[in-house]
Amino acid sequence: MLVRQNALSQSISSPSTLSLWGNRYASYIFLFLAGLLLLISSLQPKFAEQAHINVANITAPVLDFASRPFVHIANTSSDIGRLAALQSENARLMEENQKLRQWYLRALALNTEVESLRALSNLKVPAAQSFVTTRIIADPGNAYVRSLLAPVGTTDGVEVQQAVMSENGLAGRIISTHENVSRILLITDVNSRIPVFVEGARQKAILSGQNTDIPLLTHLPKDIQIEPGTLVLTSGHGGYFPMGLPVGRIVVNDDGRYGVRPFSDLRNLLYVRIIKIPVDPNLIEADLKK
Amino acid sequence: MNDISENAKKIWHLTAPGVLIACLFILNIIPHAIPEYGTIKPDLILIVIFYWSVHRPTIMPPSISFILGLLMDVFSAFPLGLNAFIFVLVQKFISDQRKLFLGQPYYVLWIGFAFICVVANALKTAVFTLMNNNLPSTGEIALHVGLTVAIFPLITILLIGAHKLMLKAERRS
Repeated sequence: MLVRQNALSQSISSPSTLSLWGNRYASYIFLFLAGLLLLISSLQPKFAEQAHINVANITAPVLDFASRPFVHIANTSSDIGRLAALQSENARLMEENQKLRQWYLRALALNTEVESLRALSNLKVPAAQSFVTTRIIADPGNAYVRSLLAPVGTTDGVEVQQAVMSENGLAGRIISTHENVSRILLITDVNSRIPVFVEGARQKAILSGQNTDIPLLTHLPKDIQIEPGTLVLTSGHGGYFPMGLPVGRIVVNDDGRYGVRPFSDLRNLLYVRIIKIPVDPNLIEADLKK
Repeated sequence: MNDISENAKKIWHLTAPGVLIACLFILNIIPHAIPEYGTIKPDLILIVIFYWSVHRPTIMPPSISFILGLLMDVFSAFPLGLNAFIFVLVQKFISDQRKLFLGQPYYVLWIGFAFICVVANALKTAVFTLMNNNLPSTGEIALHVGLTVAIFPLITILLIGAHKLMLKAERRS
């Protein structure tokens, strides 16, 4: 390989190659352009995000099409990997199914109870949530940014701030959208803030991403004690997220701060569901004329 | 008929580097179902820019580096211009210093790339820290740099293959 590399290098290092190289100032021009864009990105993040999503909207269909064979290969290789564990997986699923059947019967009983209590209290229940399921077409997969690109947009009813779920729990939220493409900010990203509710402690908090696998719980009372493993759900505050979406379980960090281990495997998301928020019938519109 | 197949072959050989760049770019940004792969994806495009800047700067002029960086910024949600700036900077620096690498043993090229990869990621980390007031996970960045440097020989084998095809077509014409 060393010899081959040398031979190849020698064969192309002739001065004629260098003379074809083009404008010597081109590098400085493009460096200036890139620096200018970077400056605009830091001073006007909203403008930069809009530019991002506009370019992504144009190029996403091409990427969507071009990435299909790669995704197919990734899916097939992952399926082959799973074949080896098929027997143990089947046994686990049968056991899980048995447990779920018991829970299903319990859920039916509880549902009847809830329905009758709702009828008694005359509560207007919001319409059932609808959702869009989509494939992920771009995942940067690095330590700097935790966001994804999905090939669905405003034409599919996707709006900014809608919740994004994996098959196990909350994954993130929509931060920008265009006709055919939307960007998802994962709950682990350093810019992510989600209002949550700690179930056992009955405590509201904000889930703040840290660009690590474990986002932190912030705005908690100083002396609060929460058991590790406690369930964390979305609180629905702010009106963007539905209440009660499963987020993860409490873990205590080495420094004593509370974090949340997400239910979703955010490193390997291939498909997600975007939750559309129905209009709450309990909201009364203000009469501004009075 | 022979002429047509000969021409098709020639076109394929001449476009092989471009096709390889497009494939590696797509591979670098699409999601994978490989466990633990997500957050430590290697930077394949940096390898491509480094290789062509040393061996054939005409294939990787500043304009192409800029466009690749800009597309990377768009699809990966980096601040607009960050990857574009780093890629053009690497292209400029390496193509200015390419004589240091030409004719050297392969490991010199590898060490040179490792140095560039560390500097590029240090620059990215510095910009991110300034923009977000939060230092990204240094462990994951180190892993990302390590994996990019480790995968360098594998990607260069593909690039050398594409390079040879192109040289073959050029010699024939």
